[in-house]
Amino acid sequence: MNPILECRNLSKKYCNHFYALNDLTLSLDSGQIVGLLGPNGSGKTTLIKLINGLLNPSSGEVLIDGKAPGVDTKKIVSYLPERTYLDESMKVRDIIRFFADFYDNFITDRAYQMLSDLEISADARLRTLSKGTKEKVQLILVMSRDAKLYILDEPIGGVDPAARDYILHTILANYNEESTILLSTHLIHDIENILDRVVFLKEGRLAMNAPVDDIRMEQGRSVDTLFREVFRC
Amino acid sequence: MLIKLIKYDLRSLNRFLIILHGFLLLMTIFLRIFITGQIHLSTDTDGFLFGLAIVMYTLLITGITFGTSIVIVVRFYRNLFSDEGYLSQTLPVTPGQHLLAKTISGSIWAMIDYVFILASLYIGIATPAFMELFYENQGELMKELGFTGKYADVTAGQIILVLLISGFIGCVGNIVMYYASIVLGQLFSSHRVIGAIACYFALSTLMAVISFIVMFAADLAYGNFAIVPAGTESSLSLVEYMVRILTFSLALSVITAVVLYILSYILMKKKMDLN
Repeated sequence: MNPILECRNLSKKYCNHFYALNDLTLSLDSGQIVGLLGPNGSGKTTLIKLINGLLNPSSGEVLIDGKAPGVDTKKIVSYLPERTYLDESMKVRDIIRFFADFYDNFITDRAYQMLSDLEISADARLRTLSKGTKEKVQLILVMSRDAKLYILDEPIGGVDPAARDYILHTILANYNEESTILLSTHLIHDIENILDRVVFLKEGRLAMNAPVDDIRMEQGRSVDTLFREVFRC
Repeated sequence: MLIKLIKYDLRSLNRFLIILHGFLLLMTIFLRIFITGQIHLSTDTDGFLFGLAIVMYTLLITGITFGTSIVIVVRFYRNLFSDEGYLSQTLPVTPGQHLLAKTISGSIWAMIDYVFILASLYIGIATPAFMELFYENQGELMKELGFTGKYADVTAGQIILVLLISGFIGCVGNIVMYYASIVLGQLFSSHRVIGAIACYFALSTLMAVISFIVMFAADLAYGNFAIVPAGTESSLSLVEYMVRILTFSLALSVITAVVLYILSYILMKKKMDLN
C-alpha cells in the first residue's frame, strides 16, 4: 500500500535563489492527524502548495497515494488554503452546488448540517459575511468531502477561541480513520491533543518527524514545549 | 468537467456583460428614436447632426467592446491566478480543460459583443431616411466601392456571412492573445499584472510588425489600390483590396491564435507557480 504522502528529495527554489524547501524526504501513512509545524518561512505553505500542484518542484518529487499531483490526486485531496479562495459574489448555496458539481465525494447534506449548526444562512452572499464566518464556510466545504487526504493550512488562525473549538470538533467529527489530515498551524497548544504525529520544518528542511506519543513518553515533554526548544530564537 | 467549467465561466461573465449589452441596446434605441430617426439628411445641419451621432456611436461601441474585453480578461486572471486560483487550480480538471473552457466562454461573449455591435449599428444608422438615400445611390456607391465583375452579384447575406466568419476568427484570436499575455505575465516573479500588460503590448507590436512585413511582401502595403491608377488592369478596387487584406489578416490571426494557444497550454501545464 502506498503512503498517502511521499516527498523524495523535494526542493523548491524561488527566483532569488532562496530555497523555500530543500531536499525534503518524508513519508506519511494513512489514518493519522499530522501537525505540520514550523516558524514563519520554514516551508510549510510551500510544501502544501507543492502537494496541491499549485507550485512546480525545482527538483525531487512529491507523490500523493503514489501519484504525482494531477487530476487523480485532486480528487482525493481536500485542501483548505490560508486565504479566502471563493468568489465573494456567490451565495453560500451556490458555492455548495459548485463543490457538489466538481467533487464526486462532496456530501451536500453534511455541508448543510454544518451550516445549520453554525447558524450560517445558505442564502447569504459571501461578501456579506465576516472574515471568521468565511473561514468557517471554507472549512465546512473542505470537511464535507470524503477525501483521503485533508490539508488544512492555518485553519484556526483567524477565528475566536469558541469557533476554534467548533472547528477542531468539526475536523474530528468528520475525520474517518482511513483518511489523513495534514494540519499546519502556529497554535500548537490548541491542537496538540488531537495530533497523532508532528512534522517539524526548519529553514526548508525536515527537523523532526515523530509520533506525538513518542515525544511525550520518551522525551517527557509536550509538543508545544518541544517546538519552543527546537525553534528558540 | 469542461461543460461545467464553461457553465460557471459564462455565469460569471453574464452578470456584467448582460448589463453592459443591455445598456448598449437601450442607448441604440434611444439614439435611433431621438437622434438618427429625426434626421432627414437633406440639409447641412442634419448632416452635421448625423455626423455627431456617428461619433457618439463610435465612442459608445468602443467603450462597450473595451469593457467586454476587460471583463473577460479579469475573469481569466482572477479565476486562475489570484486567490480564486487556489480553488480553480485544485479542482479535478486539467490545465488544458481550464484554458479551453475559458477560451470558449470568452469567445462566446466576444462574439455576442460583435454581433450586438453590428446589430446596433444597423438599428442606429439604418433609418428610413438613410436607407432611402442608400437605395437612391446604391448602384453608384457599389460601383465606386468596386462591387463589379466577379463581385457584382454579391448579396447582403454573403457580406453578413463574411463579416460573421471574420468576426468569429478575430474574436477568438483576440481572446487567445489576451490569455497568452496573462499566462506570460505569470512568468514574472513579481508585478505579474504589469508583466501581463507589457506582454500584451509586446505581442501586439510583434503582430503589427509581422503583419506589415507580410502585407509588404504581398504588395498590399500603403493602400496599393489607391496609388495605382483606377481603370488599369493592375489596379485593385477597394473591394478587391479589402478581400485580400482580410484574407491575409485572417490567415495571420489563425496562425497566431494556434501558436499562442499552444504556448499558453504548455506554460499552464509545466511552468505555472501560483503566488
